[in-house]
Order: sequence, then C-alpha cells, then structure tokens
Amino acid sequence: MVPAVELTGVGKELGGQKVVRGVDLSIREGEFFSLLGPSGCGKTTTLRLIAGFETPDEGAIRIRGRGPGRRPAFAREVNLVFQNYALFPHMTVWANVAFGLEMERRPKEEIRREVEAILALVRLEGLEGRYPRQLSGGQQQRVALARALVTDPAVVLLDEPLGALDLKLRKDMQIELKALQRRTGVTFIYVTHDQEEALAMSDRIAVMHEGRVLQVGTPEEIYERPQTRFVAHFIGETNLLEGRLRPGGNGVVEVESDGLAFAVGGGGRSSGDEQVILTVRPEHLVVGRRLNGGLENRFAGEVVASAYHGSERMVHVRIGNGVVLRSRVPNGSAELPDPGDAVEVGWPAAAARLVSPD
Amino acid sequence: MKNPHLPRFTAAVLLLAAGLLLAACAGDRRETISLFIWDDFIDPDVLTQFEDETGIRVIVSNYSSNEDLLAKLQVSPGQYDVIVPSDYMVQIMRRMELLAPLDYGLLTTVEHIDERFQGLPYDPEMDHSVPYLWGTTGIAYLENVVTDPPRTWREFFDPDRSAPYRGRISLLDDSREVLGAALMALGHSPNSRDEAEIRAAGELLRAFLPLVAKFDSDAFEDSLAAESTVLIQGWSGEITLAKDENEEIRYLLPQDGTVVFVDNLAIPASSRKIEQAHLLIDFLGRPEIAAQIVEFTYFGSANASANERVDPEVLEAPGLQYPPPGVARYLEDVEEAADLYERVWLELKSR
Amino acid sequence: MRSRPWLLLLPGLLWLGAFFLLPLAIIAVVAVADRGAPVAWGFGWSAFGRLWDPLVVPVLWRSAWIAAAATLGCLAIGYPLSYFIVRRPKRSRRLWYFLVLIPLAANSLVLLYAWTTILRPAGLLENLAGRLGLLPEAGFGLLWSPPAIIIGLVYWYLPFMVYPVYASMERFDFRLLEAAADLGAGVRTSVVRVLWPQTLPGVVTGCLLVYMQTFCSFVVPDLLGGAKTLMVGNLIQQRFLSLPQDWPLGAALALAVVAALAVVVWISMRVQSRLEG
Ligand SMILES: Nc1ncnc2c1ncn2[C@@H]1O[C@H](COP(=O)(O)OP(=O)(O)OP(=O)(O)O)[C@@H](O)[C@H]1O
Ligand SMILES: [Mg+2]
Repeated sequence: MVPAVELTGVGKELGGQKVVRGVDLSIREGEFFSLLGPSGCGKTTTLRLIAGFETPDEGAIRIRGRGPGRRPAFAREVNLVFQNYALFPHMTVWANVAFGLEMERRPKEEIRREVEAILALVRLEGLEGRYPRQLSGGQQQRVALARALVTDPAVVLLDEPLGALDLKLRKDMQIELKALQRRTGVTFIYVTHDQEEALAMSDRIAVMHEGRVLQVGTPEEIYERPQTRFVAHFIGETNLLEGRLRPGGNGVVEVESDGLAFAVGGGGRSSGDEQVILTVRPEHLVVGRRLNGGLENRFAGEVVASAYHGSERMVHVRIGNGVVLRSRVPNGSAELPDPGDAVEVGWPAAAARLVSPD
Repeated sequence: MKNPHLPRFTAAVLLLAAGLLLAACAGDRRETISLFIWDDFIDPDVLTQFEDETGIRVIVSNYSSNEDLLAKLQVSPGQYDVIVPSDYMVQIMRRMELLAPLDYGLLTTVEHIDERFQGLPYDPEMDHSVPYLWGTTGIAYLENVVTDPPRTWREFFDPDRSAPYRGRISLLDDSREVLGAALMALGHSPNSRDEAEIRAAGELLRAFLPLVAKFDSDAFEDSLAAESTVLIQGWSGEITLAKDENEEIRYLLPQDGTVVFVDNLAIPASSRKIEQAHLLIDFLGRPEIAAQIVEFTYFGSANASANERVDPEVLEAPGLQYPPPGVARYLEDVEEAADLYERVWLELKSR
Repeated sequence: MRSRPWLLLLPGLLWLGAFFLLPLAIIAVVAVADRGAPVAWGFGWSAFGRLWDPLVVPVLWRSAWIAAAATLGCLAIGYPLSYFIVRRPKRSRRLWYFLVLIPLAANSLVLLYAWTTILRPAGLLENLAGRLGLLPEAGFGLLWSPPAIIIGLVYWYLPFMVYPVYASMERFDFRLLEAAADLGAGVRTSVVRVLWPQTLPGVVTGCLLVYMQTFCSFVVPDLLGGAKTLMVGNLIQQRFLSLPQDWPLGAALALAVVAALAVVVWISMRVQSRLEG
C-alpha cells in the first residue's frame, strides 16, 4: 500500500541553522504516528514541511504517493491543528468549523450536515454560536480538531495539541483523541515532547533529536529496545553504563566497566572490541539484602537514596565501581531498604541492552 | 501690500516664535517695541540702525493679509505698537476706532510725503496713518508665451481672448481685488456699491472661471517664474522681484483701471508705547532710510525725497511706475456693500 | 489610608477642560453673540439660521466627499503598507515605521510645496510622463483641482491611518493566515475573511482620524486646490478672517462641524464595540 506520508532525505535550514536533517519517514494510512523529541529538535518544522508551509531544501515529501509539485498548503490533503489552535477569534464555533468546507465551495446543505456531524463527533453540540474566547481550553481544542477533520483530509497534523491543558484534562483528551482517530480512521501525525503521551497514544513513534530521526518503532520497541543512548535516556528512565565489549559464551556478551563485568543478553548493537553503552531499565533491577540465584548480574552495594513515588519507590544503590544504579521497587513489597543499608542489586542479562552512543 | 511669500499658517508660527522671543526678552532691560508688518516689507538693516540710534529694539512679526492683521489686532490688543495696514483697511480700522491719533509734534519727517499720497480718501488729514510704500495691481505674463497680452481688464477677462492660456491663469485670492478688476472691466468703479453692477462683475468672473487655474495671493509670482502659470493678476513688488528668476516676466498696468494700494504706518489704539512708536515712524520717514527700503522691497516709497536717492535703474522698473492720470484707482471701504462682495465671491467659489 | 481616586483624574480633567471644553465654550458663546466688530455682546440664534444658506450646503457636501475620498485613499495605501511593514523582520520594522511617520515630523507645508512642484503644469510629473511619451497634449491639469487636494490630503494624513492599522496588525496572530491557507483559502480570501475583520477596529480608528482631519482641512485646498474649491475649513477661516467678518457664523459653522463629526465618532464607536462583541 502507498504510505499516507513519505519523507525521503528531507533537510531544512532555517536562520542559517540545519533544523531538519536527512529525515526518512514512512507513515501508513490510518496510523497514529507521533514525532517525539525535546523542545527545539525540529518537530514543528517537520510538521510544517509536511503541511506545505515550508519547502524542503533537500529530499522529497509525498502525500499518498504524490509529490507537492508547486501546490500550496491548502491543495494538499493535509490539515494542521496548530500548537495554540489558531482558531479565528471573530468567528463562531460554527463558522470556524465550516470555513474549510466553504473554501471547497460545498453546497450549503452539505456544509450544514457535515458541520453538525463533526460537532457531534467531538461533543460540541450546543456550542455552535459561541466565540472561541467563550470556550474552555479543552473545548477550543475540540473546535480545532473539528475544523481540521471536517474536510475529510488524508492526514491531520497535530502540533502539541494538548500542551496547554492541565494534567487531568490532558489525560482525558488523550483517550478521546485516540478514540476519535480510531473512529475516523484518519492518519494522525502527532507532535509531542511528552514521552508518556506518545507511548500511550501512538501506533508508532519517531524519536527526534537535533533535527534527526533516531529511531522509529512501536511504543514497545522504542521503550524496550532503544537503539541509541539518547532514545534510551529520553524515553522513560534508565541506567546507562559505559564500558568495553568482551565476548562471552552462549549468546551472552560481557561488558567490562571499571573492573566490573556486566552480562548482556538482550541484543542490540555490538561489533567487536569497542566502547559500548549498555542500558537497563530500573524496573528490571532487583534490590535485596541477599538475592536469590539465577540473575546473571549481581553486585554488592550500598543504598544512597530512596525516593517515594506513590505506587513505587526509586532506590539508588552505589556499587563497587562508584556507579549509582536506580531500581524501581513497587510499594508493598516485603523488604524496603533504607539509605545506608548494605544490599545486593541484580538483573537478568536479558534485561540489559547495548545501544549506540548516537 | 500683501507680499506674503509665506502663507498664514507659517505667519502664525512665526508669530508664536516672536511671542516666545518677546517673553525671552522680558528680562532684557533694553526697551522694545513690536512692529507687525507684511513679510519682506522692510530691510532688517534699517531696524538695526534704529536700535543703534535710539536703543530701542524692534521686534518684527509678519502677517500676509489685511484681514489677518485685523483679526490679530482684535484678538490680542496691546500686542503691537506699529502696524502697516493698506488703504481700505485704514478706513475700516478708523471706523472701528482701532487706531491711535498721530501726534505731529513727534513726526518731523512727514514733510517729505509725496503730494500724490496726501489727502487720500481713506484718511484725508493723515489723522491716523502715514503713507509708507505703494504698489499697483496689474497684469503679469510671460512674454515668450503670451504674445499679444491684454492691455485692459476687459481684454484680460475676455474668455475668447484668454482661452489659449486656459488652466495657466491665476487671480489674486482677494474678493475686492478680483471683483474690483471685473468691475473696472465693465467700466464701473472698483468701489461700486450698486448691487446690479457687483452681480454683473460676478457673472463676468463666472464665465471666466473655467480658464482659471487658481486664486493665489501668496505665491503667484513663484508659479509665474516656474511657468506653471503664464498670465496672472498680481502685485507690482513681487512681480518685479520675480523678474530676477525669469527674464520672460513682463508687467503692465491695465488701462481701464489700475488699483494703487498704499500701505501706511499706523499705531494701534491699544499700544502702550505710543511715544516710541512715533519715533520709529519718524525714523522710517527719513529720506535716506526710505530709499534703502525701496531698494530692498521694490515697492515705491510715499516719500518724495527718498526717490531722489534711489538707484535710477530701480525706479525705472515697470512695477514702480505710477499709473497715468485717470487710470489710478484706490480701493475704499464699501461698508454695508462688503457683505454683497463677499456673497458674490462665495458664490463664485462654492459653485 | 484613604485614597482619593478623583485626584488621579484631575490632570486629565484639566487637560480636557483647557484644550477642549474651554475653546468649545468660547466658540459656543461667539456663535450666539451678535455680529459686530468682530463680535458684540448679545444673544441670538441667527447665526445658526444663516447656516442653512444655499451656498454653505454644497461646501459641506464637497468637504464630505473630498474627505471620504482622501480617507479611502489613505486606507488603500495605508492598509497594504502597514501589512508590508508588519511582515518585515523586527529590526527593520521600526525603520520602515519611522519612514512613514516622517511627514509628521518634517514641516508639512514645505512638503506640500514640494507636491506643487511635482503636480504643477510643466512640473516633475508632466516632465516624466512627457519623457515616457505618456503626456496628453493638454497636460494632466492635476494641480489646482480636487484630485490634487485629495493627493495632498492622502499624503499628509497617511500616518494617521498607518498608525492604528499597524498597531492592530502587530497584535494580529499571523498563524491565523496560515490556518486559513491550510483550510484552502487563497491569499485574497484569507485577507478578506481573516485579516480584515480582525484589524477592523484599527481601520475604523484610522478612518475616523483621517476623516475628521481632512473634513476640516483648509491649508491643502488653498495650496493644492488653488483656492477654487472651498471646503468647510476654508469657509470657517474666511468668516473669521476675511472681510466682512462674521464671527458668529464662523463659530456656528465650527459647532455644526463638531456636532456632525461627533455623530460620526458615535456611530463608529458603536460599530467598533459591536466588532469587539
Ligand atoms: N523561522 C525560523 N528561523 C530560524 N530558526 C528557526 C525558525 N523556526 C524554528 N527555528 C529553529 O529551529 C529549531 C527547531 O524548531 P522547531 O519549532 O521545529 O522545534 P520543536 O521541536 O517544535 O520545539 P518545541 O517542542 O519547543 O515546539 C529551533 O532551534 C528553532 O529555534
Ligand atoms: Mg513546536
């Protein structure tokens, strides 16, 4: 099938700075696709390139297999939901939503039907006559969505649409957005710097850093099998250890770091004797006065800090080489060590992965 | 008269500046008097001489129409010590009792006044005014364009005759001057109080108006020198000066009536420095001083002894010729007929 | 501590009194006084009766349409100009803005004289057109005509249009134009349906400022109109200055203009408050 959106080798320079570099993306029809990355990494710019507000300096962008040619933004089957909604303040909800249909010169009756239907879909019935300033943040958000969806575009681009909402509302809207996308089957390209949001909503995620796409994959792939140090670090929390690769037996490699050896079984990058970085998530670390056998990695250490996080506790353990490892311990488990306690910390080789240093 | 290179607005600004200057000089112990006069109507060097001799400093401010002068005088009494109203304005101001009677015990130089300017109807006994400079209202044109110039107002206002100069003709922006010229073209007095005659003059002008580019009393000579206009009604002094800029300019005195205007030195009744004002008027009447003023302004002096000292070449300029007997006319106060003049004038302009 | 809020209002009230109410009161007193030399104590409404002169009405009418044409001219130039300036990068924006304001700073009279040298017969414009072979045989006849008045007024009062329009555009969120484009609007549609309605308050203010000033102008009609085309400002000026003076009529005219403009202001304030919802 033809991808909904395809970027090949796209690069863009703004203000003398390479803001987007060599981006390759292939977004499938009907997909909920997220661009995730820290502030300033080029997400908005990528979105604006797809929307046609900017033209790439290099590479090509295809929407449903067709290049942009010289067509302006509106001719593309792409609608953008702006970072701060950009609703027309002098128009009612109805007029805002109907705007795109009017531009397509649809018959009056059809416009009425479509607007009514989409307002029902985003649960805004009864607010047609209001002006944007008379709406709450969440309602404005939904108007922006309705306005982008009503013309039945191939792709809707959303630039941090929930950024301005408070936490509770944001969670609700995440679910609603996702449901809406499911129901309409429209391809969403969703920009966010909130990794939890991306993980919770997306079919696939592209992690961006300094204008590049570092990794594309499902939320599980991104979280469980990060390929670079940045991805591992940016998504969720992790322990990173630098060392030198040492071949071991039966599919397990060992990493030597400051005199300690770590067994790595989870795959990832390895190519002979070189500097490598290994990552292991805190929830895979076990802490106890004395650990049972069966863990390939087991080290003696001392608890240096223990932070309460509601449903869990983050325990910081310093091991032999001075490195501090973090372990996520669910609250309610039997042993909860205190700072100063001598403990053991351990994890299975399969939980550790090698990542490239970017 | 009416020699404004600057229009009213600028005059007002200058007035304000002069006022500020006056305030600034308040601390100065030297005595000052204020002279309110047409623009470019006196040689500044003359005033320096006066100050050197008497120790009285003269503060000069300018106006650009008699009406302007009257309004300022009405609004700020006591502000001015010597003013220079034209003939008919002297009459009006006398009627309004705005002028102080002159004390001839203090004016020794009046004996030099030309006989032609003695006993003029607006102030026959010179009770309130002393003639200063005079000029004429005539026809000016560019010789290279207007090959057969009108010699009379009748010819000037003949639409067929003047048709080739359509859109390049200017008239003074002055109801009495323009209607006066039209009245003379019809063979009437420029001071007619007869409604039928005045209306007929209005009709003559209405027929002529399509040829007229503008009404202008402020910069008519500049437009002529720049050849934007080619045939105009204008005042002698400005035209004579403009000849320096464009050699094609010619000036003639219409044979069916040439208005002679006399601008007069007078003292407002509201002045608080009547004695010093007399000193200045007397000083300006000295033949050598009056001659210097003629050479500066290119207007004729009312001072007979002055002309003997003026460069003969200057005296020969057409702008300094007094109309032959029977041609000279003076504008007079027409009293209640003034409303009618204004009315006809307004009809002309609001068409 | 007790606060005295009215003390804060005092400077404003004094200003209003000294520069607006007092002159207006003087004018009102003159308007009902008797005609004299120049006014005499007395009381009567006759000056207002003289307003309904068949000669005054066409002058008012002409002032109204010349001012309207000048206002439209200012808008036609000022609106795109403001847009142009506001789309410049921040730093050069100030510079452009000050360039537009120059006519206010420089001596406008000198600049108007400059216009006469451009527009006059055999002037700069006709010279240029002549060189390009575009000059009709009779010349343009622009100077000393109503079009010249309008050109002069547009030039002189343009900053009063640009100032409020620019201010309203500076507050405008230009992403809204992108949003409109994204939804399929062409440039013209985006401007008409999005930019224009949102900058309308600035436009109304600008039109008001320009209209009120051009309606009463008297210097430009004198200089560029050749004093052939009377506007109400000339009429008022004449009644005060030229003979025979009629100060009560001049004052009554001035009051009538103030009243008419007050109505215009009131209507546009209604329009504006409706716009702002
Ligand atoms: N018009 C521009 N001119 C110059 N530099 C720009 C321009 N637009 C963006 N940039 C720069 O490009 C980089 C990427 O910007 P972009 O807006 O794409 O980031 P982003 O990932 O959307 O960030 P955020 O999460 O803060 O919205 C930033 O460093 C920004 O300063
Ligand atoms: Mg962004």
